[in-house]
Amino acid sequence: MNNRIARFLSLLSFLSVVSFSAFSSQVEIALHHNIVNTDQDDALSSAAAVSANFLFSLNDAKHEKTRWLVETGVLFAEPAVDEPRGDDTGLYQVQLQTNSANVGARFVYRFAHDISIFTRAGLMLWHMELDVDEYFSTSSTAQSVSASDDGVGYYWGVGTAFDINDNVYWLLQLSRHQHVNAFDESADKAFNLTFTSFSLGVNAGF
Amino acid sequence: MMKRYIVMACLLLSSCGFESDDSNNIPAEGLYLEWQVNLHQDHEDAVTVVSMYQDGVPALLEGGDVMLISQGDKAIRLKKSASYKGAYTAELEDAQVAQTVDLNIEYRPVLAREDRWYPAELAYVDAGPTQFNGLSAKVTFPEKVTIQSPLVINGDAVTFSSITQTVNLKWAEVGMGSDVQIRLAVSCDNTVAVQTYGRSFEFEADDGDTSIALSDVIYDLEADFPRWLEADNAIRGILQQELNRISANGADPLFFAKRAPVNPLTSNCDIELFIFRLKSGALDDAFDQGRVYGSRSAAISLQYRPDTVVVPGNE
Repeated sequence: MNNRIARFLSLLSFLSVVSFSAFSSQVEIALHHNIVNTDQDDALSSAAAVSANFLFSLNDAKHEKTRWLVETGVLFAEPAVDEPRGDDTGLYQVQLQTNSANVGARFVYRFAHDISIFTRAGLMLWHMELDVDEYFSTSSTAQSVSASDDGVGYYWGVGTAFDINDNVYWLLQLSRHQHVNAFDESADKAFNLTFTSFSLGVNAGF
Repeated sequence: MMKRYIVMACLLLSSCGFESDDSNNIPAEGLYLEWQVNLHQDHEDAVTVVSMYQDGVPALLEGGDVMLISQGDKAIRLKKSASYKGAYTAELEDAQVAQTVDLNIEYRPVLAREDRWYPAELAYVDAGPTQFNGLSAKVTFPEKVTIQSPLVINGDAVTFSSITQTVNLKWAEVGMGSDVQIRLAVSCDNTVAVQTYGRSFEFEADDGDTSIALSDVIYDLEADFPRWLEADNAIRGILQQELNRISANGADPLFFAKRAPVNPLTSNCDIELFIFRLKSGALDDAFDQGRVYGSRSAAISLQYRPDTVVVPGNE
């Protein structure tokens, strides 16, 4: 992972330690099913992902009707694989794999004793690997090359949380992660990569 | 625009086994190139088709070799034809009749991947050039073709009603130094199905007139392929019966008739007749054989309208 994300994660860790001691905090782990698209190609496979977020409540009132939280975290996705394609050079197949670190805000509205809904949005730093397998008639095996890039993006999501007890709840979420202008050093083939994500997670408070 | 596609199709058919009196003469051994650049009447853009064969089979570029045609400072990459294996096509915009057109095969791995959706220039396998890298040929355009007869009045097609008739063609001759090809794109419709096919005739003398018997263009399917038709009818007859049975006689009675081959003799046929004037170009010594031409063409529309169109199922 590149230096920019490493530095960002270090900052998040520092903030997390400070915040854990200063605010009411939560840890959230979620599994995602990502529908992956780019604005240049819509044949990529879906990709599973796992995310971890730390949340810090700005108003320390767990059972208030509304709450604002700050969240920071990471998301690791498995590669999204493009369908095999052919052109005048031979056959080829592309796969894209991304990791990201995020910071954002979350608004929670509790509309029943043990059910709340939330919306979240924020910014992210991402790192992307582009792997290409090419097949030529002169060789029975694929030859592979890769390139990488990093950049910024944004995300938003909506979801529902179901309390298990005072400190733990399940959450269901629909979210979208937009990786903006990937490989923009290319003259005309830079692209935006979008994760449309359904996720199931668990959140524990401290 | 439609005529441009028909011209391209005619060139493709020519390089890929068009039904021709001059039968396919691709050698079984060696490197063979077939290339034509054609400028059609009143068009500014030339179309081009290249087919290359190694030991009788289509030679496909791979890895990063590309075919480029160039004229002056313009260079266009030819791309694989979707329809014909081994053929590469392109359009040369604003072609200049007085200038040479060059064909070169170069190792350009990024250009070869320019149609990929991702930034291929950042991630591609450098396979290196193939044995075709560096090959070249060149052509120039001949004089334009001016059709003098049959005359087309108000854009209407010239109509024929019997295959005993003859198409008498006249065009402005230019004498020695060029060959003439007549290519016909035929589309026959019996109101149920449509069949398209082509014919081609080659003449070494550019003497300005020839005659083509319509019977060489419009064939009688039943006379030319009776055994094939008999076997096909038997299979179709059984399948039609089975279809009727499983659908409680609800099957379309023309289900297989619609799939029957169209008999041009008893169908309405539209014919685009092209006269190509061909001027031989020069081949790289690395090619063992080949035919490379600059050409110009003109076309007229003909119609064949038999007295009775036989609709399958209503015979």
